[in-house]
Amino acid sequence: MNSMKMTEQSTEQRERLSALMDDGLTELQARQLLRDLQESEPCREVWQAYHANQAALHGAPQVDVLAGVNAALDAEEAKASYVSEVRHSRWIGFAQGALAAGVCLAGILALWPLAGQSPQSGPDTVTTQLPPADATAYLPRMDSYWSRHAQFATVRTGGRWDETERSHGDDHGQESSL
Amino acid sequence: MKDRLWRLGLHLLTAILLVPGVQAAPDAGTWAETLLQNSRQADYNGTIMVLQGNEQQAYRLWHEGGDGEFRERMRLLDGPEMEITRTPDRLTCVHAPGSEVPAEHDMPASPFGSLLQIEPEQLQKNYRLTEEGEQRLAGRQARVYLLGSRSDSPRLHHRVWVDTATGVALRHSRYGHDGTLLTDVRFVSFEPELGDAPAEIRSSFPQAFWHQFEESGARQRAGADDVWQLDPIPDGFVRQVEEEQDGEWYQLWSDGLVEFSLMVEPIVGVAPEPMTEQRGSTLLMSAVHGDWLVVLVGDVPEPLARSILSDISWQ
Repeated sequence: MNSMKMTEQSTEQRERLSALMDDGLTELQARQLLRDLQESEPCREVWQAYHANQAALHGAPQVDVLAGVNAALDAEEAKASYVSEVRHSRWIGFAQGALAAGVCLAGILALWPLAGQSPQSGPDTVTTQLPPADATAYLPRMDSYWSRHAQFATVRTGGRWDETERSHGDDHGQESSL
Repeated sequence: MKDRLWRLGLHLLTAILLVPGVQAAPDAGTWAETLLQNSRQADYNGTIMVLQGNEQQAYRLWHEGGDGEFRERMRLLDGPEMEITRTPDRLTCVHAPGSEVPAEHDMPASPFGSLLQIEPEQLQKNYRLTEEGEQRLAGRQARVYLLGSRSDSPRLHHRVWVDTATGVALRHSRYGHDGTLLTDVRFVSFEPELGDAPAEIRSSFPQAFWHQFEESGARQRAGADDVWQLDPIPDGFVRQVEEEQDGEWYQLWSDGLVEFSLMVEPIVGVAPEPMTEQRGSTLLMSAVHGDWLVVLVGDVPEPLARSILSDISWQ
């Protein structure tokens, strides 16, 4: 029973990693997955393998993605001293996790272009694409706050509006909802 | 002495009744229920102008009423071509071919959205309704009402024009606590019938891009309650939604007429600078609480937003 559950988890994680490679996850889903990536060795291995495959497909040099992420984490650790003031909080563990996940995201985003880069690009390009962790770890998302308010504020019953369906490029056969 | 006091009282009453714009206040709860019923159940069409801060947007609107249900079509007259169909629980946006579609599409708000979300009971508790007489608007005769908060803390003021013949809202203006007009939604033409409502919305936009939104329940999670608490709670506001997802909290508060959202999330990396952004009567204000970013979005004046952001804390 347990092994079946683990297999399901593993399959789900692979699907989510694949979706992350294809830029198919929301920011929140990506954060969650990156947390898993930090904690789970098998998950990291799959991620590494995906990158190696992508690099091979595009003829790009193989780069140690995890080393890039770890370097970003190390850099962040040195800059995170301001957090020490609130270490007594019972949620600091979570906050640190989120912080590290953000740095992880920064590291991965920095290495992301590898998958699509041309064979002519050299390894130097990869190195210069790594931004300082503190500059990219926080992604401004003011528009998403406005959207979220609109999503909830116009529902009387304490619910929310969710996008449930949309047409594709050439799809125009949808009947009117009226 | 008693006689003089009696005469003085009579003169005072006469003076009050003769002052234009100050009349006996109808019951706000009953008024709101009637307004909701008429604005939903009647058939009408017209052109609406929406002024939000310095931005203006014109819509063509057809509203088909029903018993408890309604169907609405809106066509944007300015900017990229878009049509919106709306029922109480479903909304579809249809973009004309070749028109610009933002990657992240917000759920479009109904021009009279907040007015049609009134909670009569809460409105009765939190607002004073004053009748200000009649005015001509969009070629119609309208009765004008002022809604002012009963709270001593700064709030927006609302003025609503109601068509005397149909009881449908023709105009809704929102003013800052200092009297500045912030948002104004009004019919510039109004007919109490469906008129030339398009039979099939897609007929005008062949090969359109569309997307649909549906109403669903909030995703409340165990433990989401009472983690981030607002204390004291601003007068008259009641929490409508509280949910937590992936370490981010969301709360919606309403006083029966206006709402504000509170969003709390962990700061990842360098703490962002607290900021303020105003879109018409709606304000976005952020604050940093230790390792957390707290963002407020809603129809509240800046002093109240500041006080709310100071009063939220981790329990």
